[in-house]
Amino acid sequence: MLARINSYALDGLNGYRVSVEVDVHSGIPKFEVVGLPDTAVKESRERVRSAIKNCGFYDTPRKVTVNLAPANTKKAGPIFDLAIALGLLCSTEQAGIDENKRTLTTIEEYVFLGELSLSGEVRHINGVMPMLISAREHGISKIVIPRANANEAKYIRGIEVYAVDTLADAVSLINGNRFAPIEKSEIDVNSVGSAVEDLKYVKGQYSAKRALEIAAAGGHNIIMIGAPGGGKTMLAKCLPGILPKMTEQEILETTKIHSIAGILDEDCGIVTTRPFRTPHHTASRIALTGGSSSSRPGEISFAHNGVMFLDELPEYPRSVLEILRQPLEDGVVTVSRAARSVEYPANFMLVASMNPCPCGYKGSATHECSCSPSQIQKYMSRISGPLLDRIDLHIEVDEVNYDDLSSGELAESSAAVRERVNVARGVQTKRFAGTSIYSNSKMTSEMIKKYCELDSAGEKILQSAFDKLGMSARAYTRILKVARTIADLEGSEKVSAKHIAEAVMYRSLDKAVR
Amino acid sequence: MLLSDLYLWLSYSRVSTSKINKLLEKMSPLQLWNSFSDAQTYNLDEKTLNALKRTRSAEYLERTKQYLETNNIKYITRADPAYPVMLAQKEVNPPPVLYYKGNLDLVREPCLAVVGTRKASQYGKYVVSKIVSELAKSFTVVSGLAAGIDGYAHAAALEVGGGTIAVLGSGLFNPSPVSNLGLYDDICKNGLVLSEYTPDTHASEYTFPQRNRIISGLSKGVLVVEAAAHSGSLITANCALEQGRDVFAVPGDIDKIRSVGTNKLICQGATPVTCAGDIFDSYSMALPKSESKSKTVEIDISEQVVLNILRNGEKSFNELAETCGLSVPELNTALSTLMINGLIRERSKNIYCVSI
Repeated sequence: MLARINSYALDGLNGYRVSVEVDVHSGIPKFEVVGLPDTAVKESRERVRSAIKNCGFYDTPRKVTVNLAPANTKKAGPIFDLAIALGLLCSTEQAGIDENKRTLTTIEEYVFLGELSLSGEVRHINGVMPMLISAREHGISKIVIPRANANEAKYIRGIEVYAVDTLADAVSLINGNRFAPIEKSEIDVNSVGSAVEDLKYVKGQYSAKRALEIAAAGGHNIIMIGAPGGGKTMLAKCLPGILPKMTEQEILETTKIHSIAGILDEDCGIVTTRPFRTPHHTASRIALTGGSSSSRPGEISFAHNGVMFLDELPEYPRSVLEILRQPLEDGVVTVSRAARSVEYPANFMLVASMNPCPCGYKGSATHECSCSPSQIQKYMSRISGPLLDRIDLHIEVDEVNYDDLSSGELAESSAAVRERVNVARGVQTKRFAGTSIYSNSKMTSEMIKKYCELDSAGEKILQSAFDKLGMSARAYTRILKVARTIADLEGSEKVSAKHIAEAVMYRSLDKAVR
Repeated sequence: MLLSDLYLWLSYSRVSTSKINKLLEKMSPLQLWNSFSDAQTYNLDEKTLNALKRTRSAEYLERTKQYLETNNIKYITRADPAYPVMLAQKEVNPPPVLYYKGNLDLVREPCLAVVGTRKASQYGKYVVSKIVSELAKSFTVVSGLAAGIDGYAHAAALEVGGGTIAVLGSGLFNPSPVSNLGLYDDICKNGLVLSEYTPDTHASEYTFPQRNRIISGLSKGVLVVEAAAHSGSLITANCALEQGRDVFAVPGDIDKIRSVGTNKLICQGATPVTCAGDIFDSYSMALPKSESKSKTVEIDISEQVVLNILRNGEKSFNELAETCGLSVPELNTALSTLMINGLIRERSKNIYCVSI
């Protein structure tokens, strides 16, 4: 007898319906899975058979054919286990029938997702959130998922979600027993990120702290340059504590990606604080952009709506850094492979740190630099101009002296800074309502013209900054954007001369070119 | 045979200049040329003899001249009355031919060499731009196109529209370093680039010390801005002394590697220089009139506070933030505005001081 069970699969961020057809017929006992399955899907036959046996059903010693339709897309992962097992049970008339052995139609209403353990337990799977969202768009009303995924499912409205613990639960569901769908809850947009470090413990570094505040408020890319031991990494680690709260839209976008990659916190279920990703400099290009045969998203997509911190920027291979250019500009990364091409959002804030030269002490007040000009040039040339172009704020981080370290005084705490950042980001959310961007850093030229209009004093100071400090033309829009954020932090409607003047201070690399 | 062609022959033989000059003391170039046809042997080592023989052909010289012309390289030989008088001196060991690009008239103006370390500090850069922008109004600035002080000196001279001469340690086809290639092109257009080496010569560790004598030879005096204990700039200073030129040095902190050389020069009797005026004084020249910048800048209260603190000495950003009583955004704005208005400058990273 043929059984047909609905399931779902993912192509990039979009889901599509997969029909799991199970047929049991006479022949040499065999279990065949067709429909471009990968190894994990093929192996599901072993899990399915054991699970069936261990849940008190009997395994049939006949020929079983499983087809995953549409047959022309690659199926990956163990998410079809539950559907295959149910299909097998239905086709052997152990489930989906009433007491009079008549076939029930309840099974057609549901979509089943889940991996099985040998004991029949339904286990956690990746990608539930984007599949739920797609399923809802496709008009599917009931979906069965593993209990372990219930936390991420409870935020998706407009679809009934049933969480099951074991295969037996699922069988009971399709036999017509009534289950309560999981309760929905509201997304809490006010949760606070847990930072490893707090700004109040950072001694001195006033300029750097202010720059971080501006960067967090406007989502600006920032690079910190300084001698070893200056506290660049510590400053970066403070950043999660001052990042603005996420909007509901941002939370859903980021959770979708984390769900696919399987890096969601199971207890929380969604990403409520901005992600802070720190890929090591041995990371490959694929690890950053995403890809591989299963088109998994990469680090830059994991950092969507959050921060990607690249410590010791010149240590990254140049080819890895160059691939950041397009995502930094467009906020998306397109992973194209021979078989298909997938677009993942990658709207992240780049935070980088580097030394001014290979030995690290160029311009230091306490150490002599031992690098030759060509060494320094070689070191700096590992970071291309176009990449630096996309970084709004450059700051020099000083070495910390002993007096600062030993003083017991605490600086302003991250929480206080975060208050201001939240207010400034709120202004931006209001300003960009109805557009596709959330922060000042992503303003288009048209928006810059509209929102960063300068009075004559502002024009004059910008003009003289270019003449006096030898700024390059690339700095122009960057300064305007940063000045807009500074004005937002101050609660000022207009960008004035003093905002421009402060923004000019954060272009140290441009000045160095002089 | 033209005398200038004979000098070109000597230059293209690539025999070292000092050897050629020794030969020329004994006989004229023409005698030397003819002596080879007589199969006469002179007290020459085999290598020199072969080098001179190999290039001794009228046809070869004709081709060479054509080659130089097509590649747009001009040359001047000692036979030419326009050959720089300052170089013709015996102590300079004048090269038979100078290859050049640009405006040769510059060598006839009073020249001053500005040299220093390749690893210049921010301070060195500042000093060069400050002093050279004044000097360039009355002097042609001579230097070696190297990275660091040399490059800054050329750039500063070009900036104020002054003349500048770059003396290369390689042929004109192979200027180095790569980072100064843009500057090289600028100087070709608005100044003078010259070299005693045939255009396709590559630089070597011997050529750079050799060209230093030309830098000092062309100039009335040599200003050393930053130099370490064994800097090449000290070679230039020594050449200057041998040639009877003046040596000036900018003093520096006694604990900095880059000041050891200049401070030593001062100990040995070089004139210390703290501003362009010191050099003009020693030549009894009047200071060129500077366009007085009487432009008054409006300063608000917070800028005044910062300026007052900085007048008492340089301060780092953190020190300022702790002492001035302004918030960090206010301080940033004040510093930026003061810098843009040219009242203060960033001496090194995050350390500010009043501009002189």
